[in-house]
Amino acid sequence: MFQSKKSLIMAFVFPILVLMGMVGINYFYLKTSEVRVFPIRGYDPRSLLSGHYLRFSVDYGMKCSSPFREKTRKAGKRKICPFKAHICLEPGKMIDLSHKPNKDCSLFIKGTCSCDNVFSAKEEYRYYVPERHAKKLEKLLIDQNNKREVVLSITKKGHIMVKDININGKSITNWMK
Amino acid sequence: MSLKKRVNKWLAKGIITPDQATAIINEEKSRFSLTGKLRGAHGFLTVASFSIGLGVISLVAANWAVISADIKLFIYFLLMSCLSVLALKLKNKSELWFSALLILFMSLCLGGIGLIAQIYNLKGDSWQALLLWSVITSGLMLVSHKKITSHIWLGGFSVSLFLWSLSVGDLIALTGSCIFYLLFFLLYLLIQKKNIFLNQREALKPWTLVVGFYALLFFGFKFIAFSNHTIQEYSAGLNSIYLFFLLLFLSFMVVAPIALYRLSVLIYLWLIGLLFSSFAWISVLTELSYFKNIDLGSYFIFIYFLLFMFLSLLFRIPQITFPEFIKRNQSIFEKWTVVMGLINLASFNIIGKSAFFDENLIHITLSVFFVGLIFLFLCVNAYAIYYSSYKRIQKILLNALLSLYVLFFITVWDSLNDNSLINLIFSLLILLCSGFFAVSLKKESLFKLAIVALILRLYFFYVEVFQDLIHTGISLIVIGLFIVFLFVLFQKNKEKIMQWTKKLE
Repeated sequence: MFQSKKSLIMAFVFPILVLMGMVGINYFYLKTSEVRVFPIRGYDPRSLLSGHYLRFSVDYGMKCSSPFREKTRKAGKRKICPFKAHICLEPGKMIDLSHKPNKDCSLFIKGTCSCDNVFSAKEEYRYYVPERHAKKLEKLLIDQNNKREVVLSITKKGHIMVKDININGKSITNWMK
Repeated sequence: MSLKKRVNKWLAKGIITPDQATAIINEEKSRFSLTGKLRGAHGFLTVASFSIGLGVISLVAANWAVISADIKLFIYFLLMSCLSVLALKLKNKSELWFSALLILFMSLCLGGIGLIAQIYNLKGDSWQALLLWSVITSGLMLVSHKKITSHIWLGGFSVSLFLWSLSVGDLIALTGSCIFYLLFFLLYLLIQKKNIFLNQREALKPWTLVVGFYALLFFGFKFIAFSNHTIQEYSAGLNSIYLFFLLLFLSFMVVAPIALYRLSVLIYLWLIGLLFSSFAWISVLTELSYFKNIDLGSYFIFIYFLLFMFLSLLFRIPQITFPEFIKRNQSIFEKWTVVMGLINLASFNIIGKSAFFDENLIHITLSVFFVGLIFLFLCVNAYAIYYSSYKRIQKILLNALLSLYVLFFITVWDSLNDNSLINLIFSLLILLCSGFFAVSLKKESLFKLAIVALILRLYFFYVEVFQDLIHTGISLIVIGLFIVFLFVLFQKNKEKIMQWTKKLE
């Protein structure tokens, strides 16, 4: 069993195909997505650099405002936060409940509104940096005087990928030289 | 199942004659003479594959910015394709090279997952990467004839489960751990009944026990964490009572063996105590334990290892009678002792950095108490070695091993602990000693484990010294290729080397 030539070939081909598929899917996302820039909000200053990737969170510039408080009150004692929510970026910027935006909304980010009315699309974002530049880049990111932004690729279905990080308007790769 | 047990089974069924059984066992024994060991030197190819795979993963982890992402991916997939074609071509010509290439291919699958995550800045936990690796390499595990491949796969898969359970909420983790254990167990029963996947089945048995043991310990840990939290919430004074009973329990575990010869019921009590101490052990390792709070974790870790070492020694004392269930699973306990020894080696540095002799009187008192317990238990272990049925050379090696462990433990107190070289020397001596002990026992798997642990220890030393994954990665690849070169050289001059070693014997 599993010793035929066909099985052997499949055993070797399957991992290669899966990994190629991962590359393909991510490449497709990057190519078909819209790019937006957001300010970086520190995740945890002490572990902004974890291993050899930077961890951070993003300031979307919108808060989960009072309508959510209303929903909590109306629901009575039953706890219903965090809520599913999304931020619509095109045509106009707005935040709303649920992961299904209106038909008019052509670009959106899916996430949740916490009980503190903070919107987050992901717990944390990551950006991998080369080992020998890691400490230098960490200092640049921690320094509050620097303008730190993340360039996000957002697909039509709300899938987000980190494309780049800008520090004072320049790509982070420029700071690695 | 060891070869000896299988041979006895075949003999009982009348498949082979007594003469044939003796011939098979003698042939197996001869593999562990120096000449026999050289005949089986192909194990070093496995080690070379491991070293090269680890080196490549280090290079990926270094995120070498000099090369662009597209070129990295191109080189990676080209390498994987070439490896797979080469492995398939060599399958019928040399099972040995096929296995080595298969292990390298599996290692590079993990490297590939890391590479893609880096290039596209993907977020994911370690357990997700390992689980994905397990899924994509499951086919490779099934087509391999070598147990080592199954062990590597089962190890990766089990670790992904453990990491998953640590990342989720308590109730889900507890339920999940129990379900995974049941699935492992049912799978083992199924393939045993159908008599399929024989190589994989042999590896599956110990891992089923490991996952089961983990599920049990996880349950115990959650209970201890809950009770710790409850105790600390209600009264600081209860902490002292809790500590008192824990110390009393440890004292029993250390002192009771002295009377084991006279009171057989103590064996049962002692084994139950071993189970409870396992609960505390896992809570120490997960850094949420009471012990960690008062800096005594490393004492406990060391005593826990000594408990299992003592149990393994008791098995070799003919006068001690054990319950049947324990006797049947003797090899599992002995293997767990080895695992404990390795965990101790790996964790002394991490846990032992806490202050043992600081100015706090309570700490000093507790530290002295623990040191006294450890000293007493070392004497008990040495006594057990003396009365065991091991040969003289094996007793010497065991005593040397025990002494090295003690000295190693002491170095973690001293500022010498910061000296990576001293630490490395002790680790290597312990592993070499273990390797020689394994050869004396004719336990090939134990010998290979010692060699793999040695390589891993060297790897971590490189990372500490070079402080640079790139140089570490390159060094490991070079070492792996050098081992391959030596092996090829050996194969070409095999007869001459065999004749020379026979003269030595």
